[in-house]
Amino acid sequence: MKYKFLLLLVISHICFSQFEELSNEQLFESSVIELDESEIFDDIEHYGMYPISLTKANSILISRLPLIDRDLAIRIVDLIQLQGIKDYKVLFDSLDLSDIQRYILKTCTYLYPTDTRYPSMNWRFRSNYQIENVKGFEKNNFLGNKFDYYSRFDANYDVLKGGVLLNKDAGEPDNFDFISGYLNSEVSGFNILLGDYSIEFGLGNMLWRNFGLRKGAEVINPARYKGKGILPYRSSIESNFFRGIAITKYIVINNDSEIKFDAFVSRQFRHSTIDSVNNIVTSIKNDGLFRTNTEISKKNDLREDIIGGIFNYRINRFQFSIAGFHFNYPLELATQSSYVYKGKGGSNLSFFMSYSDDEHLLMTEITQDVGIQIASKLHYIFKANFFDMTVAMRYFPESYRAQFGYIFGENSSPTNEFGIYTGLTLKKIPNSKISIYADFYKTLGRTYYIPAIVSGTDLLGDFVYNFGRDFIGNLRFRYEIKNDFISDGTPKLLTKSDRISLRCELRANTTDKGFCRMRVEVCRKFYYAVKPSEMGVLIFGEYKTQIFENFNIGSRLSYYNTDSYNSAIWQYEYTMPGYALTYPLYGQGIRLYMYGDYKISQYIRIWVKYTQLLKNNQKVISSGYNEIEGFKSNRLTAQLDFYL
Amino acid sequence: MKLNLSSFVLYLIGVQIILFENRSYAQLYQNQILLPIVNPKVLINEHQIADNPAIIHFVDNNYACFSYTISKFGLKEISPMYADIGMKFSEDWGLGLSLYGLGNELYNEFAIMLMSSYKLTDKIIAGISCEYIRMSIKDNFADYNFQFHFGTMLIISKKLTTGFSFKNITREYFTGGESTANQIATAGICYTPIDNISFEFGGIVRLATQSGFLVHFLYEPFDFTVFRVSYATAPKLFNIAIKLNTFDWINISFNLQYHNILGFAQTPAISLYW
Repeated sequence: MKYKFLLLLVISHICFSQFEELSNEQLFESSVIELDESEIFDDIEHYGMYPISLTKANSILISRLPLIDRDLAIRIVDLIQLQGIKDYKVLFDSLDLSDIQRYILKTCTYLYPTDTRYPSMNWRFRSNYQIENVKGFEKNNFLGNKFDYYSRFDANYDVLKGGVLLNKDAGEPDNFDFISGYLNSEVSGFNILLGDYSIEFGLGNMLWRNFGLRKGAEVINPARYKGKGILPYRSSIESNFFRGIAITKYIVINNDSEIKFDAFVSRQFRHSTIDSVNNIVTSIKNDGLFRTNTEISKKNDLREDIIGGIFNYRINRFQFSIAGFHFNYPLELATQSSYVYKGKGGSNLSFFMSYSDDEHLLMTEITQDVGIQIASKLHYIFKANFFDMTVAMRYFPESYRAQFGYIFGENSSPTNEFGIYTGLTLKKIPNSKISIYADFYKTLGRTYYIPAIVSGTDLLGDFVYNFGRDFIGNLRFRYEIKNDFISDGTPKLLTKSDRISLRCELRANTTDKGFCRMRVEVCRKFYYAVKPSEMGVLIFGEYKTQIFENFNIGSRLSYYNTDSYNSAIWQYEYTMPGYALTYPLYGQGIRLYMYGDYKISQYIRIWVKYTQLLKNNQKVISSGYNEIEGFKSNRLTAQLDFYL
Repeated sequence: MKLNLSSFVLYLIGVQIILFENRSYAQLYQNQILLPIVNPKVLINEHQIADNPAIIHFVDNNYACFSYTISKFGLKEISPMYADIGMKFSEDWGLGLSLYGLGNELYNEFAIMLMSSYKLTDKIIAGISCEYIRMSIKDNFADYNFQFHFGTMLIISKKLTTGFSFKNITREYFTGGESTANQIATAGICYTPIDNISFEFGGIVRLATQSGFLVHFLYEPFDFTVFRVSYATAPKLFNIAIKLNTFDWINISFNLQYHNILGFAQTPAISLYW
């Protein structure tokens, strides 16, 4: 028995060490940000800049880190502050954490005071410049200039935290088109947040941030993540956040139980299209673009008032929570959107419960919306020595509405979907990690685009193999089958379509900060004899190296050839902190980007990225106001970070 | 008469190539020949190095290689000829030169490529090449451009190598072909389970035509004989090759390829080493 334990310990150390060298980008790409998960990104970066002391912080503070829930935070405090664990490796092995959780803890916390001086203030400035003029400028539709910027200032003085964010998109005439800010402090045992905030509750049936975890190679974490309550808003996305005041109070009853209250009030002006004849709102505008007279006429024209609260009771391994809020608009919402509320106002109520121990995590959320529709989710995770598995079920009626919700499912809007998701990760296989998921889903009514019930199956298998210290290989297979609407013929046809994709990738670490990486990805799309099948292929090579101390450069060149947008292959790009994007590559062409970063001093660091997109046989790139005449698009991005 | 007919057919091919395909004959057809990409073992003759310049690194000796594709459609003018020479200047640095010619007075094309490889680390080799291509149709058209190609080889282990290459990374094109430039990317992996057997699997993205996959199987029954069988999709190609290197200083090879539209092509080659 003793030897078995030792063997397990050795194997777990091998498994840990093989992935701890993964880069920031790889971890995000494999785990979190396969799609635009920018808010978790921002959180990791924020706490990376202002890390938490694991030897001093309480579990409430630690649980504010992304993907670290309250139960896990309590166990971390127990292991470090009570049992005296002094090493991250031992901590991680004791907790059996996923790769991304390990990364977050190592990035956002520290165990002992070091000579490292963490900044108390940070100012980030970023600007994008599209070299070609887009149609909006060529035709003089845009009222503003081409200048595009993002500016974020954060300060952290003991218990007082604050931030201001300014943003302007190219073509917008107002130099301060979007202004957001918050002030957060502890006052007499109350946590008070003034300004902009977002709310995560339960499993996202009713309240969540703009984005959440999506289906991807990290198959267990998305089912594990539960809401963290009220959070400062640090994003430049101009929708689905609240503006006002939020107060949180913890009451610790004893070591095993506590109560937490949240109360919030928000008055926010949304952007909408108003039918002035009928005095109704016909659409809500969430893209945050105000460049033309028509777009500007929709700005801040709909007042929204919200008041609500959350009650949370934790006892031993159980957590019970109830949240509710009431919203009110001066005009009736009558949009075609499947996620926007209908009517002028109403109340939502949600109940959440969770149970967790070393092997099991069970969570459920049951929600009643303003139209008295009931939605529910149930997540279960089982952790064994050699595998983790999850089953997650979701049920959202066709007419259920949750404008501020977000779900982990086929569609992120919590409405019109029933599904069962199962995931399995095999652990402690020397040099390997294997993850599999299967998601079976169907809508409960027609969708906006397809006039029928849509049902489908989504399967993914991901295999990561470590060839030694220098090479990591990844093989990913995905198969999706669902109802599809063939719209490029007459009459339009409803059929089944399959999409099969295979990705092979190899990364070679050349130095501590340098790597060479290559990927081949192929996708086939089948339409069951209704239409010829389609194919897409992508090959990219990337190289990054350190030229001299504090100066790194890199480049990625992608060649792609796909039959249409339906067989597009998405490419994830992460070259500078806080700025990542996924880009669909379709048609025939190349995408090249070159990037570099230079740390001028301990106070200043700069990043630069140049991107070129070329498309064969194209007379224009993109569409609408963003259309570019020709087959070339060139873009320059620069970012500056200033620390004090 | 035959010469006139040949010239006329060649003229039509030239017009087709330049005006509609915007590529040279070599790029249009020869690049579709199955080429090794990530392992020097799969080379049948040294001209095939041109597909991934990083492979020069693995040439042990200086070499000169001459190859010739036997005339297509019975027209001796459609018989591409190649001459290649290469040498290792140091443990880290190799250099090669490749010449290509086709045609007659009416239509002709010519290319010269300078290739170089450099060892970045013990396991990563990078290569770059610069190619000058000139094409002309008498009294009608003459154009040239410089294309740059880039290739890499990654040596994972003695049994496993992988790599990728990008052709025409600066997107050069002939007059009129601005939006249909010929660019090709390849990537592949080669597995050698035992010393005398190798499998190579690769993907090809051709921006101007079809993309697809290829697979090579290589077998060395004796020290001086190599057999290679290959298959590619889009276009469908089947290829059999044999290499005989009875002496250290010479290597004779023969390549037989079947293209689903163009039919059979035979390419003998001879390589000398010193």
